[in-house]
Amino acid sequence: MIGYILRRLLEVIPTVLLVLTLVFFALRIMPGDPAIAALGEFATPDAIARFREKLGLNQPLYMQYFGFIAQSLTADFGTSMNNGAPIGDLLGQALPYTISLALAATSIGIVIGLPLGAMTAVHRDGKLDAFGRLFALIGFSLPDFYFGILLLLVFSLHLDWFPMLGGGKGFFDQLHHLVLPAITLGLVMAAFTMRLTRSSLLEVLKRDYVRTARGKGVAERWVIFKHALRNALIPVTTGMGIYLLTTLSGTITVELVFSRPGLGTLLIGGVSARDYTLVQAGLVVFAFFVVVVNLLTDLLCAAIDPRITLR
Amino acid sequence: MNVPINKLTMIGTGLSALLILLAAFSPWLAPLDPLDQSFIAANQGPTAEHWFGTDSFGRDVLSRVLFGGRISLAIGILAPVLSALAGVWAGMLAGYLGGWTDRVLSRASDLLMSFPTLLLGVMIAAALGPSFQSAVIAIAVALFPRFVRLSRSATQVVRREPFIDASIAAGRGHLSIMLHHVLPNIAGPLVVALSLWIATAIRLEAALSFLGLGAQPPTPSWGNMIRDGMSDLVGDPWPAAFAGAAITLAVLAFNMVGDALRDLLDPETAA
Amino acid sequence: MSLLEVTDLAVHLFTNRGVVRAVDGVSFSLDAGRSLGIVGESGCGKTMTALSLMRLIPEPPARIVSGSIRFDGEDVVTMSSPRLRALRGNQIGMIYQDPMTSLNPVFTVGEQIAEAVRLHRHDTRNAAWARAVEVLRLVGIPDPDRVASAYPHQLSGGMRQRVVIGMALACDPKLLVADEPTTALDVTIQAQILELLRRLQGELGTGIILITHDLGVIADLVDDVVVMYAGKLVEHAPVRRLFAAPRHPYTQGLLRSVPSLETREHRLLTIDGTVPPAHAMPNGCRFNPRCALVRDICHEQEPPLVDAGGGTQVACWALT
Repeated sequence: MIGYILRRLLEVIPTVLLVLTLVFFALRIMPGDPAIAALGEFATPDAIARFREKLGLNQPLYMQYFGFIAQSLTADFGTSMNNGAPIGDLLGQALPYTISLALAATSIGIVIGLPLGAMTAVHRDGKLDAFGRLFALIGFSLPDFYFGILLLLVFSLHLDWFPMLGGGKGFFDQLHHLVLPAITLGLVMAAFTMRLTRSSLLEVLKRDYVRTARGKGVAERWVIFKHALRNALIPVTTGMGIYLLTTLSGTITVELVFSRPGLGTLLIGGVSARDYTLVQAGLVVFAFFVVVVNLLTDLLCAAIDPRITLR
Repeated sequence: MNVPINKLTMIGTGLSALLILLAAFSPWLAPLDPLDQSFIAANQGPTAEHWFGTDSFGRDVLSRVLFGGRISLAIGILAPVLSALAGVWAGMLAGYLGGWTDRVLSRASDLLMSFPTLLLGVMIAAALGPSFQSAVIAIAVALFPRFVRLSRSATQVVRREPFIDASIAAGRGHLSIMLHHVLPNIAGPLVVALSLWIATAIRLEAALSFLGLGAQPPTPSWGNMIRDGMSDLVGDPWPAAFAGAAITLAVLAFNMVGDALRDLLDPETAA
Repeated sequence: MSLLEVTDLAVHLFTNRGVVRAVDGVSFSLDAGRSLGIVGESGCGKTMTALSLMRLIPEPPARIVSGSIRFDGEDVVTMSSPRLRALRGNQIGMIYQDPMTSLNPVFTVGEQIAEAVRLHRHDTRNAAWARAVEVLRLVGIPDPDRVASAYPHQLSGGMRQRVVIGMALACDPKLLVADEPTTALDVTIQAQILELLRRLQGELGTGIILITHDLGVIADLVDDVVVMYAGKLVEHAPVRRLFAAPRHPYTQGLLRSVPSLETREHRLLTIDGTVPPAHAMPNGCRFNPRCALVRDICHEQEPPLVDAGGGTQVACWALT
């Protein structure tokens, strides 16, 4: 088990390396000079030269590349091209906002989506199922950031139940600020989870071993919640792992809606300011999340399904 | 179950066609020039003169939504089609030839697949710099591995059919076999995927231009209208509200078409 | 009083293409400790009959539309769910066709057997587990302690079928219903499983209903045989009598298609034609398109089941 995790974590290295390489070269072909972007149109040639010197932009490309890779692998992301702040610190400040949002949204997604999916499968073609169908259709069609704006308009602007903007100060204020963004992403995830659970459970309920359980005298409730659901959870877990990443990237737009000072806001700010180092670092962190979430998904699947051996 | 599926197909197809027509004919349909500013008429809610109101520059929101549809739907349809053209061939080659071609293409698309489409789109659009073209490229690349994977697995199924071996034995070239035997047989699921991914692409385009990574102002797109609207959500929520409603409607329409097509092709898994 | 008494059982399938009379007016009975074989081609309604005994038929599309199934004097058809659950796996144990799919992949086989024990005997977890190991030993599984902790995918098909049999026997049921228990298995494993059933029958004295399409399987395993064709019971006879003097033309055809060493016949005789599709059943006797003895009345009326002497009952116009 531990050996497997270590091996999988080692596999992270080529993935992250590839992402780093892509990010590095992609950003280098981006139009515009970062020195001018940082210092403004009217900077003196002297100042620009000093700026380039400081950030190593006048070194040959391959030197910059290896320097960048080496730094990234030691989680030393350097300083922001724009304001000179250490990027490690910027990331450290932003990360909790993004992680708390992703986790809260996922919790909402599971807590609402799983039971709703199970119930719509059991009471197939009933009233609840019709509602679920509508819920899913809306969830799949409403862009999360637009949903966020609608929530913002109703619950912050008109009802004034929740704060408009920012991340909040202190635990309870931060929690208060978390509610609307988390509901935004959480409900969309719930729609997805619900559909996945429903179809997966319907599929499992047709299996022979469900009949075997009934034939043993197991009550219908336990046939569904013990025998069927456990099996249905296997594809649901895989799907949720993939969707968690979608939710994580959804934080980028939702953070912008709620002016939440998270990773997405940092990244997009970096893009518009042509802050190479900041954008590189932000993308590397997202890439790292992707790899870790995929690993966790596989571990969870193996825990649910005894047929999967971790090798 | 037949009746509601047909109804959904009709509604979805009709709605998609209507939206495309509205966008295509927006220069003739739009009541005003979407770029005409009027500071006297700024930040108005819906009125008889401006059905959807005006934005902070006094531009007519209805006209901007209509013109914005051109950009949003153009990207939303163009990107998946380009992606399909490349991805389907790559997937067919991988599935048909197997061996090294398959291993390289599958590994590459698996790696890309492990990234959510929006994140890939943001990465690429950020790297290329914000513009119409980079939004197209970003979305096309983000969807590419999905087309590769789908057409690869469909091709592998067809490849095992005896008529393929018969064609090879008859001396037919591989390219011709792929074009005449494989492609028609895998077309069904690909068409379903294409319409579902057009819905995804419309959402992606909206998200990218909302983030400022798509078509650039003053050209209206649904996403950048919301972005503009965000600056004064308190004073005038209408531009964002109507642009968002347009996105939702478009995504809904193409999702309905895709779902209905899937049910038609595969009645077994129909909901 | 008989242990099981099935009277005029009718199970219909309600599909979009119309109603299929999967089981149509079938009656038979079984005394405690005795055994009955139900024989017929696939699609003749024998599995539906077997599943009906515990009301395990898939509803929808299937439904028991009429008749009664009296088990120990109580009608299963009208029984309340709690009573039904107390019957399932406790008084009646069921063995299924495909051991590869009838065990839950995410629980160990020990857990799956112990679950039935805990449900019906209200044993502690440990006692139920001990009973699970005990029945695994009973069904001839080597090293039952270890196998109890194994997951189904770690066992071979034959071993899994032994587990399924053990699960059915875990609560000492009065009746064991085996639905084609060897069809999905290799030939050598088939013989072992049949041998096991024979041994268990002798040791435990459980009533057995064995459903099969293979007459060879039941020859020395059951006391009586019911032959079904297209949802109808066509012949009911003691097993020796059925083999010695089959009456219904269909039964005769079935017996001719069993390869026999004694007659040294090289060519396997089969019955001409196929079972008609479920929604296009002929009028009158359902066997009439394939029957050599067909006459006018066979096209008009369904033949009643009548006594034909020697304990045989048969439904055929040619014999009345």
